Amino acid sequence: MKKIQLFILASLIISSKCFAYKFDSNVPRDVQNQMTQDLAFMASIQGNDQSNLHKEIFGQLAGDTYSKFFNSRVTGVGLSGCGSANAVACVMPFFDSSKMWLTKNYIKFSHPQIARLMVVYHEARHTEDNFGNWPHANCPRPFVDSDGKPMKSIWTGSSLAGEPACDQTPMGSYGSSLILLKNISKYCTNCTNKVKMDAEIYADDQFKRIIDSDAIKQIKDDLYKS
Amino acid sequence: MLKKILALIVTFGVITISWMWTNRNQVILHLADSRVDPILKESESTEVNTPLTHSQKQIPLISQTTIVQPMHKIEILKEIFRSKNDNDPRLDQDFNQLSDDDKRELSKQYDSLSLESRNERGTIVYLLGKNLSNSRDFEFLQKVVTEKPCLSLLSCNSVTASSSNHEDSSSEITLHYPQIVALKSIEAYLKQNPNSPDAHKVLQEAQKSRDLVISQMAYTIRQKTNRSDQN
Repeated sequence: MKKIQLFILASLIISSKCFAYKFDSNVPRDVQNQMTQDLAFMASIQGNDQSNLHKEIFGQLAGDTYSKFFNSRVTGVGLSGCGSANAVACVMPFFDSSKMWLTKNYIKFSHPQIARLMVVYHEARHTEDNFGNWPHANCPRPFVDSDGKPMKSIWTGSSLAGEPACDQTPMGSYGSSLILLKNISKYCTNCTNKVKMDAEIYADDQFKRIIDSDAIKQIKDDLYKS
Repeated sequence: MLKKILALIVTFGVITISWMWTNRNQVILHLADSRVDPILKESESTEVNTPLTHSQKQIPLISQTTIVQPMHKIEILKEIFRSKNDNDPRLDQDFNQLSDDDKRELSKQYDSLSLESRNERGTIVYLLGKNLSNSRDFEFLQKVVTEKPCLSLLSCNSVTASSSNHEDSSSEITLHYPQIVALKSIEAYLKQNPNSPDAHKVLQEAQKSRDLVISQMAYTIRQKTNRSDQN
């Protein structure tokens, strides 16, 4: 009996390693397909270098690295509204910190592919219980850009000041996804120029959400010095 | 007896799991069915059922029942749009040195797309933006940067209320994606041709935009261009 129990336990361990993430049955087929394709693209990425912050967070710029990063954090993918009409994906750590939830916007919204992946990897960072799920910092009051103009949500017109939509560390969700994308834009060797352009556009925008001066300097030194 | 049955079930499970693990890539790719993209306004049926790949070195296969013929650039682009694969190498290979006819077709395709097709419209702007050669090309970019703002990704004509700014950052960029790509194209053109009146006119018009994202980006590019002129 003990041998059988050990055998069953070993099988469960093996099977848990085989399937990194599993879709809930209510996730629409086309959403599943799109996410699978997008992650397959990440798994195919090749690069000729990576920045120090990228090494620290992800490791080498390579498809295997990105697959392992995602698969070691996300064990299930479900369907949810995520509490916002604009959401594409979310994680609810209080419910299940290793589960990612997609909304139907994942395929409804016409985001560039790398923008969808930015959101997915941003949310994957929120699964890390060891780091308190990398909660966001409140954006400062006032919250201005480098030209002194107020940072606003452009389409709602509402100010971001005081909102939990910023990070004080390069290691959080905004920081890690901007580091991921900026490295892809600089060092990917098998990405189209469109993908690299998009990666740069979205990374540069995410950088505006980093509010701590030391964090900003760290990222500038790592990625923005030619 | 029960123990033997249990052992058999477990053994079968392990064998199945091992087979699926070995063949996981094929399992994943078979999930990638082709489908009609609802964003494209023109009604088309997709008869091609291709296994989609994401390697830079591979091009999607064509169904065995289709006669292989040279594909018009627009047909290539539509195929890429349907696949939602921005890493299709044909974006880099098949849209260089565009003729006036090619540009006209791409411009028509741009106009035919729904306003909500932000990535598709931005991709056409990107392709035309790397082939700027005459005033008509800049007139197209000017038209793009002076378009009415898209208010939401679900419907450009109406605002969608959101309870959180956490998810909004990518949405904001995507809402302005065609315009941002147009300005990026102008920025790249000005690096080689800093005194181009056509390019500067596009920037001037963009700076007048009531849309802060566009006007601020145009302003920043103008500042950068002026600084490099002085250097």
